[in-house]
Parts: sequence; C-alpha cells; structure tokens
Amino acid sequence: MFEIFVKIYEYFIFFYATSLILSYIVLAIFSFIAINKYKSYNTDIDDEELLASHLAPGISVIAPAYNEEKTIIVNVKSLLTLNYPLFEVIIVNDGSKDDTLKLLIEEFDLIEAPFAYVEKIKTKPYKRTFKSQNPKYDILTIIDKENGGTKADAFNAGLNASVFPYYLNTDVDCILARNTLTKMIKPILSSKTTVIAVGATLRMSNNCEIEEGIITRVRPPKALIPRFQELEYIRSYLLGKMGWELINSVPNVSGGLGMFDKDIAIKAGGYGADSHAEDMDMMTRMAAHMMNNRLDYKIGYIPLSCCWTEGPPNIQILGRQRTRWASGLFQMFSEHRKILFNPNYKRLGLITFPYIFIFEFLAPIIEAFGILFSIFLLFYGYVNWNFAPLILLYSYTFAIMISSIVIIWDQMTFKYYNTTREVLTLFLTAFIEPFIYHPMIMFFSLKGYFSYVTSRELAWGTMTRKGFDNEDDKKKKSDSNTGSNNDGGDSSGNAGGKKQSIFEKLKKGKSSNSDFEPIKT
Amino acid sequence: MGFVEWLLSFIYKIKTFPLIIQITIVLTMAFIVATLALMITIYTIRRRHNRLQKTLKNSVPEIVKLFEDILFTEKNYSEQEIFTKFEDIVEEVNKESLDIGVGVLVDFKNDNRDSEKYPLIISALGIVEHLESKFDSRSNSEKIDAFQEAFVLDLNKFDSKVLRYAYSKNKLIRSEARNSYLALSTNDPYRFFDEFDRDLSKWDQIELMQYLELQKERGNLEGLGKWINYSKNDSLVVFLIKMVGFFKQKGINEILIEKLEDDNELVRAEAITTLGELNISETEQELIDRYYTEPEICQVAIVKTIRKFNTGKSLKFLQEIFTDSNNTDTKKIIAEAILNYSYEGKIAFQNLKNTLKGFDLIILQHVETPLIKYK
Repeated sequence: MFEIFVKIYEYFIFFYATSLILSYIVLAIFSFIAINKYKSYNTDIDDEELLASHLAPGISVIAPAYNEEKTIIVNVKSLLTLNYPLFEVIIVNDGSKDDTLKLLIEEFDLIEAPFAYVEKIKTKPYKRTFKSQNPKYDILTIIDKENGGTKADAFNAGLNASVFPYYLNTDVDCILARNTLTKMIKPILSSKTTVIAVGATLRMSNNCEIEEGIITRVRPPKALIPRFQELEYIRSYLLGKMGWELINSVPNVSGGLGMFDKDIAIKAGGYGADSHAEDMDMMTRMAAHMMNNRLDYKIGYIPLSCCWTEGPPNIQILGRQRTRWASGLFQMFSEHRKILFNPNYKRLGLITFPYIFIFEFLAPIIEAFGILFSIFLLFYGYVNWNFAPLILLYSYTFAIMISSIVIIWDQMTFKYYNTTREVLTLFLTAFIEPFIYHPMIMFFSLKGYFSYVTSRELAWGTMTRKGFDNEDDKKKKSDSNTGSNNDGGDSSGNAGGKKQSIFEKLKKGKSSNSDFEPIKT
Repeated sequence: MGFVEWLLSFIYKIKTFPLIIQITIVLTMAFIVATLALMITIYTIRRRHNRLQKTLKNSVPEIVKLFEDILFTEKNYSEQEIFTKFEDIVEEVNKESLDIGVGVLVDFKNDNRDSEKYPLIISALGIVEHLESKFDSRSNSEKIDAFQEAFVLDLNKFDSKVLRYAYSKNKLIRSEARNSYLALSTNDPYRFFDEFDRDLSKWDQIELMQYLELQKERGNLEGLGKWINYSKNDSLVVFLIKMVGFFKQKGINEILIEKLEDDNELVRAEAITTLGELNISETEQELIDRYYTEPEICQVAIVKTIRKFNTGKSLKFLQEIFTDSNNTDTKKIIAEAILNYSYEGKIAFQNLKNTLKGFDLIILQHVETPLIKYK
C-alpha cells in the first residue's frame, strides 16, 4: 500500500514539475513574441511626439509614504523630474510617526491649502492637504491622513485627491526613469480597447548610481540577496508578465509601478483597504468590474525597466517582505475565491487564477511536503539513488536555462548594464539561486501563509531603508541599523489592528467580500 | 572507447530505463544544450553591442560637430564635401552609419534647431534613398522608423511607398501608413480622411494632429469642415471638430450648430467646446436652453464654452447651476467659470463665498487658491 502511495506521489511530482516547465516554455515563447511586437511598433520618437502634443492625457502620480524620512526627499524629487507634459505628483502621508511630513514641509516650502477632498473611496480619515509655495514644485500635492494600516488605504486617499484620468501608482522608495510616463501611457493611447492597466519592469537600485533622484548608471546589486531578487524580478516581469500580456491575461500589475485608468479603478471600488496584496487585488477588482459590465478590456505590459527600488539587503528584511507578500496572496485567494475555476470570469477564472493558484500559491506547500517526504524516504531507505540525482538535475538545468532565456530577453529589450561582466554576474547568480534563494523564498511563503491563517498582525509594507547619499551621489550609505520602521512583523505605529483569522472570514462568507464586486450571472 | 561508441552504449542503457526517466534524461540534455547555446547568444549580443557602442562613442560627437558646422554656421559646404567628411568619420557610408547620421538629424529637429540647410545634408548623404530602403525592409520596426524619420525630417516624397502600406494586411502598419500619408504625401495628403473605416485611437489622434500642424506650417492645411459634414465615422468627426477649434478654422458655424443635434454625445460635446474655441457667442442662449437635457460631458462643455464667451450675460445661469449641481467635479468647473467670468463674476464669486458654508465653501476656496495648479 505504502509503495503504491510512493509511486503515485512520484508520478504526481513529475507531472507537476513537467507541467510547470511546459508552462514556462510557453510563457517564454509568448514573451518573445510580445517583446518583439513591442520593439517593432514603439520608438523613442514616439516619446518626442507625445511630449510635444496638446492631446497628451493628464496623469496623476500617486505614492504613499509611511515612515520614509530616510529617502523621502530624494524620491519625491525623483518623481518631480519625470518628463511628461501634464502630470501631478501626490504623496500620501499615511500617518507617519517619524519626520516624513516635517521634512517634506521644510524641503518643499509647503503650506496647508483649502482642498475639496471628495471621498469617492472610503479611507481612514483625511486630515489636510499641503501645497508648495515654490512655483518649482507647483505639481506637488501632499495629502495627510490617519494611518490606515495598509498601503491600499493610502493609495485610495491618493486616488480621491487626484484630478487626471490616469494614475501611476508607485512607492516613494522607487526611483523612476524620466521617460516612465511617456512609455507607460503609450499602450493606453495606442489601443482601441480600453486598457485598464499597464505595468513595466522593476529592478534593484542597490548598486546603481543615482544623481538628484535620477538613475545615471545601472549595475546588478553587489550583495547576493538583492542580486537574486534582480534576477527573480527580471524573470517574473519579462518572462511571466510579458508572456501573459500576449494573451491579455496579466495577473497583476506591480504596486511598485503601474498605470491605471482612474475612472475604472474608482468604479471597481478602489484598493481593498485591508489588502496586503493590493496590486493583485486591485487588478482582480478592475477585471471583474469590466466583465460584470460586459466591457472589453486589456491589461498592457511593456518590457522596459522604468523603476528601481531598494531590494532587501539581508535575509531578515527579505523574510519580512516575502512573508507579507505570501500572506497577501493567501488573502487574495481567500477574498476572490469565487473567481477560481469560474467560467464566468473567462480567462481570469480559467487560466490566470488557476495558474497562479497551482504554480505559485500551492508551490511552496508542495515543495515543503516534498522535502519532508524525501527525508522520510531517506530514513526508510526508499530513495532510488540511481535516479534521484537525475530528477534533481532535471529541475536544476531547467531553472538555469530559463534564467538564461530571461537574461537574453533583457538584453534584447534594452541593455541596461554597461559591461559584459555585469551580465555574466547575473548569469552566474542563476547557478546558485536554486540552492540558496529558492529555499528561503519557500520558507518565507509558508511563514506568510501561516501568519495569515493564524491572523498574525501585518504592517504597512515599509522596509528598513539605507537611503541615498547625495553627497557623493554614487554610493549608498552603509548605515542600515536604524530599524525604526520595519516591514512586516514590526507593528510599531501601525494602526492596522489585529487581522481577522481566515476561519472568521470564511464564516462570514459572502459578507466578507462586501467591497468586492461579485460576478453577475 | 570512442565517443560514438560511448554514445551508442549510453543510448542503449537509457532504453532500459522506465519511460519517465528516459524523458527526464532527454529533457535534461536538451536543457544543458539550450543553456550553452543561450550563453553563446548572450556573448554574441554583448559583443555586437560593445562594438556598436564603441562606434557610437567615437563617431557621434564627430558627426554632431560636422552637422552643426554645416547647419548652424555660415560656412558653405558642397554635397561632395559633406559626403567625404561624413565618410572620413564613419569609415564607410552604409546602412549602419546612415542610421547614426539620421539619428543625429532627428535629435536636432526634435530640439527645434532650425536651419534651411537640412535638405543639403539629406541630399548629400542620400537619406531619401536610405529611408526608401527602410520602407522596403521586411522588418516592421524598420518601416515604423522610416515613417517617423521621414516625418521628423519633413520629407514628403514617399507617396508610392506609403500608399503601398496603406492597404497592408498588418493593421498596425496600415494604420501608421494611413496616418503618415497626411505628412509624407505631396499629391493628395488628405486622401484617407475619405476612407477612414476604423475608430481612431488616442495615438492616431496625436499623430494626425502633428501631421495637420505640419501641413499648416507648409501652408497646405485644408478646411476640415467638409469631412465633418460627410464622414460617417464618429471618432473622426469628433477629432476633426477638435482640430477645427485648435486651428481656429472659420466658416463652419452652421456645421457645428447642426452637430449639436447629433445622436452621439461625444460629437455634441466636442461641437459645444469648439463653439467656445471659435467664440461663436450667438449660440450662448441655445446652449443654456440645452443644459438640463444634456448628459454630464455636454454640461461640462457648455460651462467651459460659456466661460470662453465671457459675455457677462450668463452669470445668473452659472450661479443657478452651481447651486443645482451635485457633482463635485462639475461644481469646481462651474465655480472656476464664475470666478473668471468678467468683473461681475468675481463679485458674484465673493458673494457666494459669503453665503455658502461647509463643503460648497471649500470648493470655492479650492478653486480660488492659486497654489492648486490643477483644480
């Protein structure tokens, strides 16, 4: 009996791994086509045309800030340097406990202004609005509100205050490329179908040179953890999301950088205020809204890297970040469970959601079970030593191949690294990633699921920042031991309160989804 | 034992394994071979890139210097001199070097660096022929480049080339060709206004508008009223009405007034806005009469148009609709209209401020605060 079970298990793992591999190969082909299509029909002259046009639509850049005193000034300046004819920058101070607001007021010469703030989406109480007295910063608006416990709540406040038909959501710790807005609005302008969101690639800023909030030299991170993350991001964006883009099934547009149609975002109910995976939650809401109203829609993706963010420099911070993401993913599937395998949601319900569920959500659980089971088999001498290393090699060589493909796709799109050595550094990272980084991610994912199920507190997704050193403009500060505002477990200053357990949520059933628009059948 | 023998024995051994293991071995070997091939590809891409960067680094500053000397100084160069000097810099005048040269010229044009001597360089280096070969390329990317570069360099001798693609099966190329025809044709640039069979995207509008601006610069901008009158394509009609307002084209009052009765609210809204742009103030009362029966998009257009007319006759109406409106965004627009509606408007705005309380008062304060750039 036990041997039959082992046999079935072996077959299951083989077919699970093989279907994952096949899906990656299909995505690689899709992304290749999508990238080439993008490259064929988009040029830098488009940017010039758009910059000179009277018809360029307005864009609101929204960036929430919670305890970001270390980097806030450089990053707001970076947002103000964006090159676009009509845009505003809205920073939402989400009840920061540190000097974030004070620094903003001093640096940008802000005063409180009478502002007709309309709460189109419910948020924690709005307090006031600041505007700059310096004409240089006339496009800057600071919204001060009470802490909502999640980035989603702060984004909603920014949406309420924005005036333009499209908005770019980003984080204040992100450095954006100057042409971000022209590049990201293009898919919206070119399409005759309503494009509800557009995403672009994020990379690590850890080893980049930054001058006056502008990236002047891109390098892969020196430290191993952010370098792993750089490779992971490129893989996820260029291979995953670009591939999905070809069949209009992009599962989510990153919270770090995404452009959205404001009207649809508001009609869809905005960001789920208690969501910790606000990006995927928002995308799902918007897609559901379009389907409910029988409207055609498209989610676009561009293969360019437009955003650089500081990656977790050590395992501790990486752990907090990934625990929160995993918890958010669990929360997302819990709240939007009606979509999974639901034919009414078409591609979203039958392709995107099942794929994410089987190959992203379940993967850490299957892997962890596999490891435990292997240990058990080892003890009882059931391991087939002739073939076990071969199976391991099968997965390992595939992982390296897929990373190599992604590096080529990246080189095809735009050569961000100046030297071949830097490209090779990333390539070599692919060889050790499966042994070091992947197990950590699996562990943190399980921890995140556990946190969600046992209703541990989750804080606003801020991370201990090193900050950018303006004095020498090229190196980051090495000091990172402040720890006053941490990601994940450190709940100081977080008014999010204790989260409902999954069991309570499931008990509440339909009422728990009150702010999510269900499918109309 | 030779490699072939080893391989054969290996294959024989594999055949004795279970099917799953056989598949695994084959796939693993395929992954290893693919990874090696990818490594070589990465190396090749980088090598080519490094070589190009080296060329650019060496030649671009020199080309910029040469072109600046030709275009922005009094010096006179013959075509032969230009060609020889360019050849000295790039070593060989070929597709690659011409692309670099065209890129430099496009940058000059985009920076609005005007000169009458652009045609001299274009002729000396054979840029028209170079662009023609790009039009003929199999690569769509090359074709799109050619469309845009020809437009930026203000070249309009490509009727036959562009026309060929105006009926292409590729929708994106077809669309680009039809839009570009407006700028790149000398014979009948407006030809495709008669044949528009598709909705215009926002990007189409941006492109067409810049081509119309180019036609205006060339002194060839035609009256757009006839297409507004005859076209059955609503998206084209909306765009053309907007352009009539933008270029302040006169003599189409009747067509615009007729469009106020159109079934499509977007057409009506654009017609109302353009009445304001053209200051056709005799329609003011007509617009006021329509206000309450129109959807929001047209109501906003009416308010903006009345503000543009600035006749001083409709202040009472503006005050009335400010009180009636429940939409904050519309209220802001009405309040702004009152504030900017002649001297009487400013007084009325102050009176409103003295009488209103709560959120309505905040709207008024919001509107009059100069620090808030976008209301």
